Amino acid sequence: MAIALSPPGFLVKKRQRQLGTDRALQVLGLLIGIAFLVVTTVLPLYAILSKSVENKAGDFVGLTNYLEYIDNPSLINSITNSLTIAALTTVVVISLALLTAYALSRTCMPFKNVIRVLMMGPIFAPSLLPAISLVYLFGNQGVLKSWMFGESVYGPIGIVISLSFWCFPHAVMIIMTALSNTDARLYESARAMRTSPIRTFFTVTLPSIKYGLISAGFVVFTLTITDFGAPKVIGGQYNVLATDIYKQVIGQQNFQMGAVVSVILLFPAILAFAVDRWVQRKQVSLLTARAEPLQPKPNKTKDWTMFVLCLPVVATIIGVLGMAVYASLVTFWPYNLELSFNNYQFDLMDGGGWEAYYNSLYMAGYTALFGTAIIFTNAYLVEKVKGMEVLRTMLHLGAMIPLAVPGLVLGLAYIFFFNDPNNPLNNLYGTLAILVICTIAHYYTVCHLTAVTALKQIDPEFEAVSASLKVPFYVTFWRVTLPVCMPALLDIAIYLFVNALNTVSAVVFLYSSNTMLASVAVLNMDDAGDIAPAAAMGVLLMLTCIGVRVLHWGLSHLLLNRTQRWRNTRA
Amino acid sequence: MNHAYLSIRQLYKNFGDFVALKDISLDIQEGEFVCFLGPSGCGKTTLLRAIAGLDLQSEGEIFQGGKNISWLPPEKRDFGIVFQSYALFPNLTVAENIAYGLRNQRTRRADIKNRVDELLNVIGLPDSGRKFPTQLSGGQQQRVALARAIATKPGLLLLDEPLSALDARVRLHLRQEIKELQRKLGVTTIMVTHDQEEALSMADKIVVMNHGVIEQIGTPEEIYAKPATEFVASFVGTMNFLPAARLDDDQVQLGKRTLSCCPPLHDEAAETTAANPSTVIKVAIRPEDIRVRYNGDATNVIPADVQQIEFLGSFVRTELLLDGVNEPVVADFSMNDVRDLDIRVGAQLKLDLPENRLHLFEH
Amino acid sequence: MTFKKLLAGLTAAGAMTVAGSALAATELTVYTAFEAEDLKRYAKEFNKQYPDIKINWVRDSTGIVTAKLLAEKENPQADVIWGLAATSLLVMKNEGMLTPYAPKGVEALSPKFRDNDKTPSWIGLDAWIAGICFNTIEAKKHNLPKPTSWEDLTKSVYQGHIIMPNPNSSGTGFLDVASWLQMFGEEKGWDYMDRLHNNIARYTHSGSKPCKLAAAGEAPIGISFAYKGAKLKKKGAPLDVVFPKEGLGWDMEAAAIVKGTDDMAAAKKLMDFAASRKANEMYNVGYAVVAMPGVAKPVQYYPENPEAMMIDNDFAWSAANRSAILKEWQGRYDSKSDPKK
Repeated sequence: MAIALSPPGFLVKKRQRQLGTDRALQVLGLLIGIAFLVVTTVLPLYAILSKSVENKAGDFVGLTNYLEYIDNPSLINSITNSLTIAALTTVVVISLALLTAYALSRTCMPFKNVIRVLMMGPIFAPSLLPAISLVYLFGNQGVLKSWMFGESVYGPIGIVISLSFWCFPHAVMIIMTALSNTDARLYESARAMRTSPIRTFFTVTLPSIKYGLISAGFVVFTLTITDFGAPKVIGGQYNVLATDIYKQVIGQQNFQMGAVVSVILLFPAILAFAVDRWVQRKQVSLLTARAEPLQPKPNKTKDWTMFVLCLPVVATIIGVLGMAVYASLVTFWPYNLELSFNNYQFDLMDGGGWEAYYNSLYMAGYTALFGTAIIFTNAYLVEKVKGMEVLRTMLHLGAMIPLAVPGLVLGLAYIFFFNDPNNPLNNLYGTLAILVICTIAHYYTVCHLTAVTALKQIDPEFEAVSASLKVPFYVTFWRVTLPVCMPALLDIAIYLFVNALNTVSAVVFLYSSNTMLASVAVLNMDDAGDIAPAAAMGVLLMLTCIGVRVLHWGLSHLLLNRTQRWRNTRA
Repeated sequence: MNHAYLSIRQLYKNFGDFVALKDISLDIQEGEFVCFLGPSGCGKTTLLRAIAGLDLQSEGEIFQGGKNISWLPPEKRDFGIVFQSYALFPNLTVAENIAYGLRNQRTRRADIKNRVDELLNVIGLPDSGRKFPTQLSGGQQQRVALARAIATKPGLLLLDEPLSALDARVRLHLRQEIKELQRKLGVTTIMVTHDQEEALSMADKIVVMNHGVIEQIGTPEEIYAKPATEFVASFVGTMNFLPAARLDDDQVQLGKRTLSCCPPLHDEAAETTAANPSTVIKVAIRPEDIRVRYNGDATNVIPADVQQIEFLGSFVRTELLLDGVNEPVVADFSMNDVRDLDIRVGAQLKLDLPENRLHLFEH
Repeated sequence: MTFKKLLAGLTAAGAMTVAGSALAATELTVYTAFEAEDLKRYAKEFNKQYPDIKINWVRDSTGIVTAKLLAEKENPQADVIWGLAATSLLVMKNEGMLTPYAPKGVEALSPKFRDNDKTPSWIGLDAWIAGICFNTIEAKKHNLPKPTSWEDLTKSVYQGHIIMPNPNSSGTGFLDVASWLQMFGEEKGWDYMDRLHNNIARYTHSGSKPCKLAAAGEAPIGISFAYKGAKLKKKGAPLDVVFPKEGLGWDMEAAAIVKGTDDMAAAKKLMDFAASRKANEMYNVGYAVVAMPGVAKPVQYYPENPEAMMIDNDFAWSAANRSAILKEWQGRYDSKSDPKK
């Protein structure tokens, strides 16, 4: 037995950590990751903040611009309008999404799988498309104009319907996740105690999905208050904050005022962001116990009731998307209803033609490729590197910022930041690269969280094991972490691709002659009154997204069979 | 400096204000199998990770094979590690997992294959090389993890609760296998565990830890028979603790009775209390050391009432009230004793608390 | 700047993209608000004379192109502006963003159609004239008489049937507003717009959109410009193009060299072409009034002598008062808080 004796006068040496190659590379990686977020998010936001307190000549003028803003009744009015629209849309979407999500996850209603797929439809189209479709449905020449009872669809009604339609799948997905996280044993207990179904819903179901509902609510709220496409197309004279930014900048060349409105638009988004973070933390603590998954059991009355209740939602989705497709094929609405592909001759219209479509494909492709690589690598560094808490926390917090920044604000911020002649990066201005960078930054957070979740699920000791085997961490990253996270990587890539294809807000200030994008073309064609070609381009984007989604589905099946063989094999 | 293979000197680890390790000094000889034993949160895993370089200590030094490794990153140290979660790479086959560290050493392909086959044989899974980890049972997976850890022939093998995730039967079996393998390879091994049985059955030396300090270092027999502290006594095995008063060097008063005891009070407490008679102390005895049959060699006989009986297969655990003592006492009796002496609830027994089996602890 | 050091290393990628495009034959980045369908034709005509200069068009509506140019003031991306409202170019001239140049044959242009400086900073190309697009089918449905004057549009019968462009974003919208203020005088002009506002269904961002919406029957009447109405009528839309008898607002499409262009020689060649007879004939395909006197031939669905109906437009006044007018307009009309009665 050897009791350790310390030598007399033993001096405690200060720590002298030795940097291994692994460590050095990780530090470098973290610094690059932080630099990326600083350049693509923090500095542009700083640029927009400082622009809002400058005059046209660039001198500091304090809050003069803000005072001028407050003085302008029509601008102030937009705040109320934006909040009204966002609140209304949130209520509509959450009620409908709760109904639908409940039917999809808790009943055995007929055609469940078909309905599940249909529900996702709106996610594949730019927010402009439902708005354009509504013009054809309820506009002055709309086929269902009589349903409006004399009200005009141009205005709050149109905006709320379009945005509800567009946000719907996001809310359904979040609520369905919440519903699927519920413990089946709670329901068995409730039944054992002879609790009525309605009481069960209010005492078991609702409390367990409370945070899911709050989270969905804020996602919808943020999407709505920051969306620019729908109010632009169908808002008529109903001004909202997002269209104000566009008008201030594009219409009046008043960049300072655009910056002011941007800063104001940041507030609700930051609030929503803060609440969402709070909810996420709460939700994690709820999911500690190992819950039994709930398998719905057939129940004729309940299943058919839910089916009937879901029908209007299904009909709306088919109707709106179908109308867009139909309108894109009509030769000259409403006087020549012959079907033709005339509206698809984009080269004869404003908006950049087929070139714009190809640009969009390149842009979305690069965004998916580089975005996935950058975001996943950074998430890996945040999640799997040991120590260096300060750097990792900085990178993680940095990754959260983009969620609170509306696309329009980010786009405007990029003009201020990247087009500054003193900025060594101003060469990027006007290139496809800046569109890719902006889009990656815009959609960074959701991808980051997806990656972090996937990384959390794999064994935390892989890095320790490979260090003990003297295998550099990047080899393990390449040979193990990446293949294991392949499904998450594909999800991130497809998310980036679809959003890059459909985004308008972030890129509308940044495209140039050579980098015209299809989504912007939809906006510009609608703006120029070429509504049918705008619909056609929108439909084309939607079909592309669906096509890519199907390809992704097939590819991941193939990949799963090859690289994820281990997943399906159980002893 | 002594000839220890691994030598730890005054190690401290703080997490903010929380002291996870406090003044840990320890020597481990080459080829030894050492267990860090303690309840969760006692610092045993923190100590293991400091030795591996995975979480560096705040202060103090570590020497391995005479080399100061205190601040080296893990990849510059010489160890293999096995975790409770196996941490097998799920997308690689069993053979690829085992070869993982070999491949990086630029070993020749054929040599790698031979080594992997050899290890697969050692762990008794010669035909499982092409399987994926998830196709194996938990015990098999842990064997693969073990094979992967020793594939590169490290000087030190670290096992972090390797058996905790397995069910009881597999655990028992694998316990023996690991021990046997360790003996065969002669690799210095440190295993972290909270399971005293595991530690007692496997270790050459046990390091009992609590609240970030080492409570006792010793062979399993020493730890069990001569627990240095009340914590060790209560954590390893079962122990009855009864309040008593120290009368002089070999007498204590328990209730109305005076008991003779030969062992001195453990620790330095011996001197202080000896000089100060009638100090309140604890007298302790293990359930199996309480005798009901004795042949006149009894030293401390006390009448007792049987309160409860629990049948545990090969023996019976009883709960007794000793005459004049309020705290119940647990004693184990063989089935023979039970039958022969008709031990049942309500029975009156005369028990012997052998003086050489009594432990005394400061209150 | 602090970020300069931080990022210096990262600029290489950006620099390469730029270098890549510089390697090709002479290219000019041309900002324009010409109609999209005209771009190919114009570039083709230009390349007949200058085959080795490639035009990279950046096309958008007037407001957007103007905004873009002003935004890029510190770091101009455009070499030449060819086809943007003269009022916008006047703003840029005042900002010192243009390089004065007298193209070959500039003397042949009508004095109205060029900058009055000795070396003009910009030259006019053609006039684009206000006009009202009137959907005859929809009018019949709603029993609307065909308006003949601006004043007619304020009649209560047209309530909710008129669409016009928002002057804040549309060049056409601005020329309408500017012309009313010039024709009627400021006070009466605003009074007129107050009354007109009561009849407006909505303001669009683009100048051609009201006409296209009228063509699609979304509204019976769209205040727009003649060119678009004539074009759509030719395509078969049930439209009449109305030219109000009080007079027509108009603006010039103009061209200029952007200060800081990399290729002055090519930019000058483009300016020479833009002022040439050939180019004027080219503009005349869609526009009834062009810069070079005697070139214009009547265009279908335009009035016989459009120049006589055009008001005597004071561009300097328009440009100088642009932001004040827009601000006033926005305060009065650009808000739904004013309930439309």
